[in-house]
Amino acid sequence: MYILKNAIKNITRTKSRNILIGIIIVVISIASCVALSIKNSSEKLIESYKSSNEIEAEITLNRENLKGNARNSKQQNNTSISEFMNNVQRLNVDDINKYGQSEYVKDYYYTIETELNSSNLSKATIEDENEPPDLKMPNMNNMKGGNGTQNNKVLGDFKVIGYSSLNAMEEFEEGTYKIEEGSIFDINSDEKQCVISQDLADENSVKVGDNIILVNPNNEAFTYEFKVVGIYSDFSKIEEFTIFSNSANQILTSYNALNDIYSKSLENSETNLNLETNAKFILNNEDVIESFKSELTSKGLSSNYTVTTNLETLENNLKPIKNLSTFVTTFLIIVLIIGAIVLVVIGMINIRERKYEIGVLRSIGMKRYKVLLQFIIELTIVSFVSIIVGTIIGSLLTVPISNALLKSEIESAKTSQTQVNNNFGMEMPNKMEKGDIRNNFAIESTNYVDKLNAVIDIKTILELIGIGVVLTLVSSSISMIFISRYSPLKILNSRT
Amino acid sequence: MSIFKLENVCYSYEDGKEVLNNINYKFDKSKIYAITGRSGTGKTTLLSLMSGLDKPKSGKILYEENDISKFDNDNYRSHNVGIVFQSFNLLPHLSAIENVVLSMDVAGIKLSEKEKQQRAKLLLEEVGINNEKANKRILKLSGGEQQRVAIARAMSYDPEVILADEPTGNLDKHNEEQIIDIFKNLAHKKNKCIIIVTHSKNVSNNVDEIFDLEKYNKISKNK
Ligand SMILES: Nc1ncnc2c1ncn2[C@@H]1O[C@H](COP(=O)(O)OP(=O)(O)O)[C@@H](O)[C@H]1O
Ligand SMILES: [Mg+2]
Repeated sequence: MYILKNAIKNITRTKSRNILIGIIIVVISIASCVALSIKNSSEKLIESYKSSNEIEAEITLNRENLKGNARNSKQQNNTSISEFMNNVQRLNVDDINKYGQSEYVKDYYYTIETELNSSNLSKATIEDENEPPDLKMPNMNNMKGGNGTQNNKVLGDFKVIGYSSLNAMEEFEEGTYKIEEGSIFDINSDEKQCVISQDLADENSVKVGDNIILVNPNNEAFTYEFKVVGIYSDFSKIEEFTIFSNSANQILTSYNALNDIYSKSLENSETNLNLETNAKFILNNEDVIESFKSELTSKGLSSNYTVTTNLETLENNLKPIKNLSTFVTTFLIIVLIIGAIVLVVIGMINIRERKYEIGVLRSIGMKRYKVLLQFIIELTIVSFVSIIVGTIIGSLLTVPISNALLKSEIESAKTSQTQVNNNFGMEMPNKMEKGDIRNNFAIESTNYVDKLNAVIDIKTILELIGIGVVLTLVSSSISMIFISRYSPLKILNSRT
Repeated sequence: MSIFKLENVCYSYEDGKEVLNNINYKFDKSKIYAITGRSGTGKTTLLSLMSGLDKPKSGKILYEENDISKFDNDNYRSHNVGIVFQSFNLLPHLSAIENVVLSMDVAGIKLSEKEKQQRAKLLLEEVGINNEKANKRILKLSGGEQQRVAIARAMSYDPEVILADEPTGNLDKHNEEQIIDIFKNLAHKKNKCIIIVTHSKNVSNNVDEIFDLEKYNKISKNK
């Protein structure tokens, strides 16, 4: 007990030195506290962002490979490129089911899409109705999995999409589309139910409960009666100069219902409908991406296709926060190294001052470890008090500092994005119909994670205590070496 | 039975300087000894060997028939021997009382803090340090006063042996006699063994036995 008493007495006796040590430790602990809590909260944020944003994979055409394969087949078999394209295996639902049955896949869903006409609906458009349909802009999406340039079949007025699952209807989940009247169709049934856009409903005075008649554009004898069970509004941004929403001419139904129509259309090559199939696979986590890719290859996915994921987008969104975390970790390491050096130097000065004291204590028979203990207790009390003070100040500074730092990281991320845009000599529009699985992830805009709620949690406190222990040991290391090395007589004799 | 025995003790410093050569001597309880000899003979060196602060290069020092080099030296210093260093070795920032109490603490004396303080005060009074001086920091005390605090400290845990290196070197005749009386009392009434290194005739005239180190030391003087 007398050791503690001595330690406390010594702290008050050698105030100025202890205040110096205290200030250094306060500074180190403010820096550590801020850095640690920023680091830990960004890690947590990254973690929760990753767990709330699923890894989604899609199968898209690999144009590079496609071009190469087309050229090869032209040379070898003298097939024209359009012939080659016709022969490229289209993705179908059987393939998707095969790919989806995987230990790496949490869930998967798909849509099929075709174009149909209608005998009792007219298209919501500001264009001249009489304009021949083949003058329309070619639909980019048809390049992907659809029939594209396959044959000269007439394209329909309405885009009909069949969904395998409600999860596939991401526009509704995200609120881009919202059912205004009625409800969504029964997703699992093959009953001919559909929802149409408000624009289309208004244009044709259709109400919930009305029937619409869809017509195979290749053969008007094929008609299908659908019951409108719901009407939705589209809140996505309109980029064209038009009064209609982007999805004005979309008719949404279940996969089963649309597939039924499609299957029947296959009976005759004349009536054969173009079908585009898209799928999204929700993977277990980002670590299985590569395994999933190679599994698809082994399951027979041709080299004309490639698997793309939203990983890059997710990573991109996390970039500022990751940069912040790295910056803060580097900063912390530098502070700790400099702090440790300063403390060692002070420890050396300390020992020079207190050498005589150590010699006296040892000469009256105080054991080495007790002298050491007394020194460590002194430093522990000083560092403990300093760390508490530093942590309190640090915790007050953490939130403003972390937000300021994150803001500047986002600014610099944005600046570099602008730089890219400038390289193209244009302003890159953040064109996106977010969540639309017919879109490439690549054009999704960056939604930086920009709110960091940096607070001090248990982990941070434990780490601060760890740092405190290490700092105390570092600062007392010199005394330790000195005390354990030298005999009392040597210390007293070397008194200068 | 002798409490201390020096058997063929030899010592030389690391620089090679031979200081003690083949010393043999015995010290008994209840006696005061004076170690004499010219400056540089090795008296201080011998005391540091006897107090376990250093070890002989050869030969043995026996304390109650046990070789002290095989002891826990810290324990030996804090319990068995009281040392009055030539340079006092007091903690300058502590008061006289605190220095004495610290020694009792280190020795593990089973007394309350208050009792220790009380005992320290009494001991200091005995060596001529009054209450006012006892509460002053060592820094503020004169050489003679510091010397007396060092003596009080050496007695604080009631050791069997007191090794004192010129304990009256800074004292006037009156104080010197007072210290001699205390030592005599310890030796003759409390059966302690008191070993004093001294140049003072006044001291050596009052001891039971004079150990002239120069005579026992067989160092070739032509060095
Ligand atoms: N630490 C040391 N290193 C080397 N030589 C020393 C040391 N201490 C003392 N000496 C030498 O040893 C001899 C004996 O010293 P000391 O024991 O102090 O003598 P005394 O106390 O009898 O005056 C002296 O010649 C002194 O110079
Ligand atoms: Mg001497």
